[in-house]
Amino acid sequence: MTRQLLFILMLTIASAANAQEFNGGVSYQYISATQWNKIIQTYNFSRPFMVQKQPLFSGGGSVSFTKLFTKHKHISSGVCFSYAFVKSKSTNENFINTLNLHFINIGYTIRYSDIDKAKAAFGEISFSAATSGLFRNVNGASFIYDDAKSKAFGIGGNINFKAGYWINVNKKFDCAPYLNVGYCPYLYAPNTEVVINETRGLIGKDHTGIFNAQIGLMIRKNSN
Amino acid sequence: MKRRDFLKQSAFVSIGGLLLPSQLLSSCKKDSLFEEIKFDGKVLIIGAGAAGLYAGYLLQSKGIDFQILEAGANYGGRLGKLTGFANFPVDLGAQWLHGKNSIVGDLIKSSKTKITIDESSTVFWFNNQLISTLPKNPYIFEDKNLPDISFKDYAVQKGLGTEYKNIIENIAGDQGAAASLLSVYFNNLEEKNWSSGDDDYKFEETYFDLIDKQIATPVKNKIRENTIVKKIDYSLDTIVITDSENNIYNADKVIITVPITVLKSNDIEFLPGLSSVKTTAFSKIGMGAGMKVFLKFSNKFFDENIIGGNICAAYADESIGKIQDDNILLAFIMGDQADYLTSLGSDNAITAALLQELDQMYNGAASASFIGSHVQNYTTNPFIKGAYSYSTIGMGDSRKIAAQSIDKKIYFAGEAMNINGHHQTVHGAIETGYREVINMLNDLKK
Repeated sequence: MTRQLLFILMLTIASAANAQEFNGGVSYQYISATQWNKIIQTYNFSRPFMVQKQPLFSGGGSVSFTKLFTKHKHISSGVCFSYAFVKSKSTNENFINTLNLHFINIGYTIRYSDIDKAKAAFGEISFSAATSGLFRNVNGASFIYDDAKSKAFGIGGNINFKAGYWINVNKKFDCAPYLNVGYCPYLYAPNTEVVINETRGLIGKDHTGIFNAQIGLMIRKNSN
Repeated sequence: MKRRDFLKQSAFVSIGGLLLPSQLLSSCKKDSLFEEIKFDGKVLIIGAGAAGLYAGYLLQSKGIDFQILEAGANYGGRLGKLTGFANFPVDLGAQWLHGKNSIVGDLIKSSKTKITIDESSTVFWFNNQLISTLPKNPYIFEDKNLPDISFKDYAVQKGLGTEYKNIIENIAGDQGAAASLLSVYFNNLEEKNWSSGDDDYKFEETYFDLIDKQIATPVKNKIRENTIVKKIDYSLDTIVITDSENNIYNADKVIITVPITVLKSNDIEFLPGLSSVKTTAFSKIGMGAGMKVFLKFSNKFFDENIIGGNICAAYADESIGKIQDDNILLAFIMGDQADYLTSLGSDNAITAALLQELDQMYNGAASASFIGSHVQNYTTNPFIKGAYSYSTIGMGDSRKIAAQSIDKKIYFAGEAMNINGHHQTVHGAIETGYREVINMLNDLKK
């Protein structure tokens, strides 16, 4: 994971030489992953001794960065990176079960905007490689068996549509509330059922589609 | 547009954008399956082993009417407990928790049941002496491109001579089989789905205690023991079950959890008869002989695990993981060795044969300090007839076919019906118990 992050950082720095714009954003993220929902639903159904049910993965936080370095009229493009965290926690007597789900997306984004204006609506489409990491904690500590953490990694592709509106905050910065809707049609994460329901192949597929929606705020350095 | 107006509008749009998918996906967003299903019918569960008990426990939690018919005098199946023999409770059946990444692991955590990892040491009886390390590694059955031949033949192919015969019998015995009958290929294929972890744990009490307290207790009043099901007529909407006393039971759904040996030997008659595909699948799932003999001694002359005996390929110190420390040695006998000992005809003869072997290993120390024994022979139990299921040569998809339901009325559970690598285990049986309740409720939705 550290190597990937370093690679992204290097890429960001390298592209900064020709950079026209650097954006950072934070958002609330909603996700729905049908197959993972099914696994958690099965976990809950099959364990009546868990009074409090394990919530489905739904809401979490996200940070994103975009570096735009080419421009043609109103179209600019560049690299994008985002990290999201979603948690599912159930608290039962003697047994607090927490599922920590991390997403990292790295991709290419194309933005349409009227960049000459401080106030300007913009729209983005981005294509990215999606990776996920799922970890399980029990009673506050990593769940370990056979001397290793219970974990599942995933990989897939993602398409995102973003729309926002830049507002000039002060002489230095603009900010933009935005809405992002994305879909990952295929995230291959074969160990997910092993982590959540502690079975393999009992519930179904080793991949899932993930819908995500974000509402957030982006910030950029004022170019005027 | 003024900034304030814009912010209002964008907030409205954004919230709408988030709520819309939530509404669209609301049917997928329930925490648990089947929250909306109401089933007023009756379910009969045949067999009160781990799978049957768990299916009942689950149905009870969902408010569905059910009854469990158990052929034996006690519930628990291949789980059991012996008290009074030692100063700690002894597991008559399954005793090791194989990996803690399982539903049983969750049950143990939530009930604060005490378990300890079994890190006991092993010696091998090899060329008539006890040694701690074998000249060659006999654990060769998890390779790539394995052939569909027996463990015995594969060991010979790999240069493990007759001196390794009983070591190989022990490895196959762990899988419930004689080495000559267990498929290297299919055993490995099924093992690849194993996801529970490799460490073995022992219960401070017994495995039976966990299942009894957490699962069986809530459904005890629904178990009818000494009820031997002889016929299942599912030709009409209502399924009619007849027992050996000609009592009739009606049900809308039946979950069969009996050992595979009972199905293989046609102890239960089905009307209409089962398809040849189904019966062939049953026949291809192996289940060999198995017994446990507990030997009590006045002193501890034996090692923690002794592998490779000619009469018994696996002895284990039963006191490991227990609070008390009576000197109890478990003889865990499977396959051909269990068949041979069963053929001796009496518990005394079985005990004598084991003592003779231990005397040879420990220079007469066994007979000198022997106090008593208890023989638990699952092979001669008419409602179990063996140890647990194993992968036979050429078995193909037999477990999958065997586990398929019939006409949305008859469902099959039990360790032998576990198709995701957890057959032979209690948690594997439990998984099939809840799997079939889910399948049954899914069929009601369709």
